[in-house]
Amino acid sequence: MTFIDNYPKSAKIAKANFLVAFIALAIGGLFGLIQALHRTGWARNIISSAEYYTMLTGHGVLLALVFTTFFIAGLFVWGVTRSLDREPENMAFSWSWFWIMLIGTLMATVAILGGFVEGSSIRAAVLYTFYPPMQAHPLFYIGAALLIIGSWMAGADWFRSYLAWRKEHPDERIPLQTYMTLFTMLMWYVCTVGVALEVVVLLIPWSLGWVNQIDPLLPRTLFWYFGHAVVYFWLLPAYFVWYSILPKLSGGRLFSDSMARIVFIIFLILSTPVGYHHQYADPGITVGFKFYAMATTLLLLLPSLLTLFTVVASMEHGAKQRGGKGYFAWLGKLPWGEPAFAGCALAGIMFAAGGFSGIINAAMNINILVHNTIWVPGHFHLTVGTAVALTFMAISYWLVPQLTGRKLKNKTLALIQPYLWFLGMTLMSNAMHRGGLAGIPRRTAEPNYSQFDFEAVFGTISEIKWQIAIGGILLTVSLVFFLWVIFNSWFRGERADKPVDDFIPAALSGPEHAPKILDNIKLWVLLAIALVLIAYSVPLAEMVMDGLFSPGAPTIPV
Amino acid sequence: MDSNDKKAENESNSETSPSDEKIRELSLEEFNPHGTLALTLLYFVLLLVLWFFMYFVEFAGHGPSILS
Amino acid sequence: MHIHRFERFWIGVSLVAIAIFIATVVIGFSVYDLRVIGAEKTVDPQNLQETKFADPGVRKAEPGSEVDYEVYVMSRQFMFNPGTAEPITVPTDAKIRFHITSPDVLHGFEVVGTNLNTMVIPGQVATFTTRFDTPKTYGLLCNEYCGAAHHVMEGRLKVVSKSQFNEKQLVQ
Ligand code: HEM
Ligand SMILES: [Cu+2]
Ligand SMILES: [Cu+2]
Repeated sequence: MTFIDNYPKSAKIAKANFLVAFIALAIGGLFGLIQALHRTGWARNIISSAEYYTMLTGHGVLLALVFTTFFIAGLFVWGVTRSLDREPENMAFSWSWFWIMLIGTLMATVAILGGFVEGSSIRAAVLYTFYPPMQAHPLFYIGAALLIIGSWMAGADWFRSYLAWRKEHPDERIPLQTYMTLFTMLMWYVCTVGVALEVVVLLIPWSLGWVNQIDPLLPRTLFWYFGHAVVYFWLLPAYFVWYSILPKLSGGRLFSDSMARIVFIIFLILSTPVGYHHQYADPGITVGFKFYAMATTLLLLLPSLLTLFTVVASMEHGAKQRGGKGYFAWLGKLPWGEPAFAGCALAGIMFAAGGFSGIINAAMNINILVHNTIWVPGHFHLTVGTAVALTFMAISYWLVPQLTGRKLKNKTLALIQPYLWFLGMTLMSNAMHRGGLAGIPRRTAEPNYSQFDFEAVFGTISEIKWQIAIGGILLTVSLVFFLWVIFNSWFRGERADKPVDDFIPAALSGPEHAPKILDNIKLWVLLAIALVLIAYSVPLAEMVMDGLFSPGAPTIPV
Repeated sequence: MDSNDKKAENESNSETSPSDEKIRELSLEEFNPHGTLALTLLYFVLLLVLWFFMYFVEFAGHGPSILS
Repeated sequence: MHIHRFERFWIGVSLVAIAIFIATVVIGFSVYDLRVIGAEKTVDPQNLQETKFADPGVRKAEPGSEVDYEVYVMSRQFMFNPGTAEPITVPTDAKIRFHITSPDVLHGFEVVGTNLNTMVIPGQVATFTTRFDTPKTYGLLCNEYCGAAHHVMEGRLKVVSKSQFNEKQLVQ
């Protein structure tokens, strides 16, 4: 008996979400390869440089917004169902959020891909940050709004399950996986208010032509109100995997359940009032608020450093149970030959590296050194592009068998895949970081200029380029391996009663050691709202006071 | 929820190779994460060294910069 | 609550690390005078002809100003004015204040290989002050996506020694 036998309805909806996620990953990954080849000049004939931006919009939206959101929804359906031991309260509701998200995704995707059709008026080459006054087709904004609304309903679905469970278990602690799901979604509600206001109040009326000018700074600020917390919306599900599944895959148990809860609380409270750290280089935001954002951002290092300790300690516990010894020798006893474990662990290592470049990004004045250079994609391909994406891929090797009742096929390929991703990303990302220090810009189809040349600070420009191109190729090969293994197992895997060992042992220090106040949802939400008000009420009021749409810039369709 | 008999059932038919097998059970009291502390402290040192290098050599050491 | 003594220690170490990062930035900000831009003033991006951006370029600062030269740069799809057609020319050893804005979409203003880098946002004026110690010609590029030809938006910033700087070229 595995998940699909115990909870067939949940398995079905989780699979539907995963299917959409993997298709988005496939298309987005292909775009990534073409970008890497185009930028470096290895192949500039696949698309034109004007189409590059349509493709880059597709890459950002399909990977950072669609792949992540659908995978997370599938993962949370699985986690809430198994940890509460109950299927969703009302399947019609569950399927309705799935379809709303999917329809929104399709609308936005059509708007983006329209850019490849010559003469099409349906276009959306605005990148996944869609800063006005560049304007996309209304389909793009309406689709984005539907994706968000669907995700809100998904969150409501999990709260519903929780409340129903609570009625039957008035005195029990919230099971950890449900706890992590609820706190992630609470953070998501707090932060998506910003982008929802931006899209619904400002951008949709403007793209439909009801108003004909727009103040660029206000929507940009609302976007970044959402834009940092969204990275934690991607990351926390990876933490969910690292806290609740990785210890088991290592052969051990979670070191501390309370620490996991504390970490999620800190993320709920601090994730949103830090958005200005994406605007350190913006005119129109005072230095004082930039400083406040920096202090809160750097404080957010704490939960990640705590996670580092707890997760590594849980792995060490596993290794020591398997006979590991010493300060470092135990690392060799970890199951590096198991694809799910190896992928999560390699993702964690890359995250540690991404943490360093993130500190540089976060630190107000040094940020100017790397702002909008290719350093930044170098950073987030380590974080969302590996810590999150590789964890999701790796854990799929363990989840998809439970959801389909079929064993994993092509185990060797599955094992090579995370190592290949790691290698490809090492090449691509280190080169992007160094390219950024040389001043090479991000989001640029042809970073070659006629009036000057770049000088590399470390290495040479031509070596940086080939590392990006080769890295991109290896990543794409790794992605093909992943898709092959997953779909082959999904549709042709051998049926088994117990396709994987899906038992998750209790934490070493369990919820009995965690103070009750950690489960006080209301308290933490109120604190989160208070900090957001401190950070945003004054600047937003100032931007709104001179008129919602002014100082108004004319519309520039792209 | 997970129960002990589920666990027993699990261990009997999980497909792990012999070298992967658990050879002892370590309780909370018996387990001290020495290795973790060593690794995290190494990471701390690495972060600080890289940080000071980036900040004072790469950034502050190379002008021109935005001044007051 | 049960927190292992190693983990307690690590929490302490983490907080120290965070304090060091924040302290470094504060020291950089105050001792090394490494600043970021703030909120200066807003302009109407559809009425720039009434501002100094109508006649962009390098100007001598008003007497009594805390800087020596003011540079007005108009960034638009897909050029800097001045910068692209002719370089922005400034002298060494002088306090120079840049003012940059855009009449159309977002742009970036990056002086390649330096710490001079700012967003350009319609409706806002990006203002920062700097000084150059040695003569050198720098590349200039737009690092915020601004449309289909974003990748051709570039220019030069020419720093000449104070003695060779020709004040006749200034915008009056
Ligand atoms: C096959 C693997 C991948 C390759 C070869 C690749 C390549 C690239 C390249 C070269 C860029 C820079 C484009 C530019 O700034 O001009 C980029 C941007 C980006 N990538 Fe990837 N990438 C891959 C996977 C991923 C994954 C898995 C994610 C996230 C889940 C991701 C998220 C992003 C985002 C958000 C951007 C920024 C888009 C923007 O600036 O608007 N990428 N990618
Ligand atoms: Cu951020
Ligand atoms: Cu541009």
